[in-house]
Amino acid sequence: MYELQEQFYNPKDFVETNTGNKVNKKTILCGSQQILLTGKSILDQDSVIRADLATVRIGRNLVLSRGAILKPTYKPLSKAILPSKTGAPGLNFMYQNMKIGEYVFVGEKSVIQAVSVGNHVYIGNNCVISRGVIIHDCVSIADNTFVPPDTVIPVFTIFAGNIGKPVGTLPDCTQELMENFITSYYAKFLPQSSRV
Amino acid sequence: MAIPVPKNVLPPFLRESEKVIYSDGDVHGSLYWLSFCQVCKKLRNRKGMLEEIEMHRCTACSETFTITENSDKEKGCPVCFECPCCGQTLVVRTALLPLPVVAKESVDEKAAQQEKRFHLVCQTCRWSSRAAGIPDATRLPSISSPWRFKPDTMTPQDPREEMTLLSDYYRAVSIPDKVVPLKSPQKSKRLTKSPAYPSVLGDKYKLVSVAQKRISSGVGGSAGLATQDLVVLEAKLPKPECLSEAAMEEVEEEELLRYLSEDQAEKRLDWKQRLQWPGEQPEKVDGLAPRRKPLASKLVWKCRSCLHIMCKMDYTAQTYAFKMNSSAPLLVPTIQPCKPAKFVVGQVCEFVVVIRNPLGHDVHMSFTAPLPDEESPAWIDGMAASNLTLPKGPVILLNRACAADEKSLGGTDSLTGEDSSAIAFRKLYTVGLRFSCVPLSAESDTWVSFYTRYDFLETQTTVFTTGKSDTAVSGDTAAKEPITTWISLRIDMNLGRAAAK
Repeated sequence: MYELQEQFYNPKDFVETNTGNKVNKKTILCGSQQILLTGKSILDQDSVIRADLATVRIGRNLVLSRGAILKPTYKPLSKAILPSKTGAPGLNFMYQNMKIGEYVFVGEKSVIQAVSVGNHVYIGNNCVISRGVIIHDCVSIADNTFVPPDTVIPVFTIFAGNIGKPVGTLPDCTQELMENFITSYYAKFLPQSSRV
Repeated sequence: MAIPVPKNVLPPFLRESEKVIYSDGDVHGSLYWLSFCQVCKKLRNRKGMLEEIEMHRCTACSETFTITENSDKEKGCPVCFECPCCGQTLVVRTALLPLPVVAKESVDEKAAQQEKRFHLVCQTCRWSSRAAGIPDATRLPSISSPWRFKPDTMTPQDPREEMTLLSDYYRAVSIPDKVVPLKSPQKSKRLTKSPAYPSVLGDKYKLVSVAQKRISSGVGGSAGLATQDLVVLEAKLPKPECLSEAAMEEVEEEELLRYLSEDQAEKRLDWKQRLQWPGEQPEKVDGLAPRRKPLASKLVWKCRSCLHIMCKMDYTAQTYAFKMNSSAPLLVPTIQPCKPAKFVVGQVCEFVVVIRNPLGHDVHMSFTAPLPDEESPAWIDGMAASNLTLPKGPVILLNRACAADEKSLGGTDSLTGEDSSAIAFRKLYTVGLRFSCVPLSAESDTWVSFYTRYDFLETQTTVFTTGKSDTAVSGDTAAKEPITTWISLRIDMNLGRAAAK
């Protein structure tokens, strides 16, 4: 019996787009031209998207909880690129585009630097997803998990621990459950004016 | 079926899934972890299904292995390795090493004399194969591993055969030790690693055991054998040379500390002394050999009684797809109770039960209360509520495609016969029904049990005959009628703890 409680927000604090995105005004969106929000996403207070480093593509129904950070990953290079004329050494890494699938939930104060996050993914609170991580579809990452760099998390995996390891498998109906969860979360994220 | 992982690592929508338990005969559990056989029309748990492995796949390199190809699949991927310390995937690093003989002519020729060597590094804990004393590989891992770690190199032959050889060897060694009286151990300080060490230790460290006394006094089973018999016996037994040289090498006195008991070893606080107690740890750094990355299996689940495929998954490198998925929430209406607003002991409490229809046809569901003398099942760990009120007539659950059909939800013809007083709300294929009960205890959880009966429509694939087709089956001109099966399930719902009066 899991029942989501209704959450009420102040409409003055949020901007609602035509596609149904609810973006808090205190969200830090760096490089907003490189953020592609498809629709029906919730970006809560103090969440950060570092699209100034590289493009961030976000699918439908993303929930970015309070204090969560999305930051594109970087790829170390063997040689430094763009050596400056002043003699300073050039960068020996390059940022890559970040892709986030549909029906993704990111918990509070989680930092995500993955290459890609698949569809129907649940990421708990206080997680650290290091650079170069690939998260496939239907994955659950428990609270307070540290996912080390360049990890590939296969489908239907429950990842937990510090250092994170696969600890179990999700049921075959995870896709349905995750869609219901995100849909009801969005439906119960209401403006204060709708409070009875 | 019990949840195979701890609850605290589960996502929140699965954490309280055990509060609604479906039972169908011997099978019971949360609907999310069950499957539904469409042929038997029964719920199945993991015990009721056969598991067949189709293929193995490495999650690190996405390489697939058939069962015949990867006969030693227990060992995992031959190319990818896990760190022995932290379990993360190791990375191959390249290093250019000069050859022993360096040409003096030019710089280019010097570069040509360099050789590529590969070693493994863990990016998380900085473990490396070089630090562990594993020699570098001269080629990259492709089909097979270029590194030869201890588990492979230590077992060139069948381990059972080697164990037999080892036990035979020790038997051979033990017989002369039991017969020949012990020589004075003070004469030689270099001792051999043999089963005779307890007697030596007994003299050196005053450790006296019953077995040692028996051996030294010659009371053993073969002590009474004649010398000729021993010679014959020794000839039958294998020679010690069949074993590796490591087993025969002489042992320094300090290494004998390893044979101390665990209690004595734990008293030693010095790191050097503590490390001499082997325990489960490897004795040396080179004992930390990388493990092969375990493979993920592509499984096929079959019903144990009818052997029909229930679940067949098709992994790809990027995503997954189900060729067949008989997960129970996709084939059985899900029942979810809402927490009652006023849940007080001794008072009639009304609560809403949300039922969702995942099927492609309308479902007629009726509810019946269990018999009063029926025993409560073992999984109910609370008090059953009394005076349970259920909807009287059958309730119609609209099919999942009703949203696309744009049916009016209130007054369709199909909904005219149902008991509308029991319906709290109706939204697409979801119905909220009013239930009521009287909780009896505030000290334990209140459970509500009832039986549901609903129709399951099996749509058969039909072959339509047309005049154009030559291969059409003659005589079968009409579509087959779908077969309706009535399925009854027992539902036990945990409503939580009621408040005291």
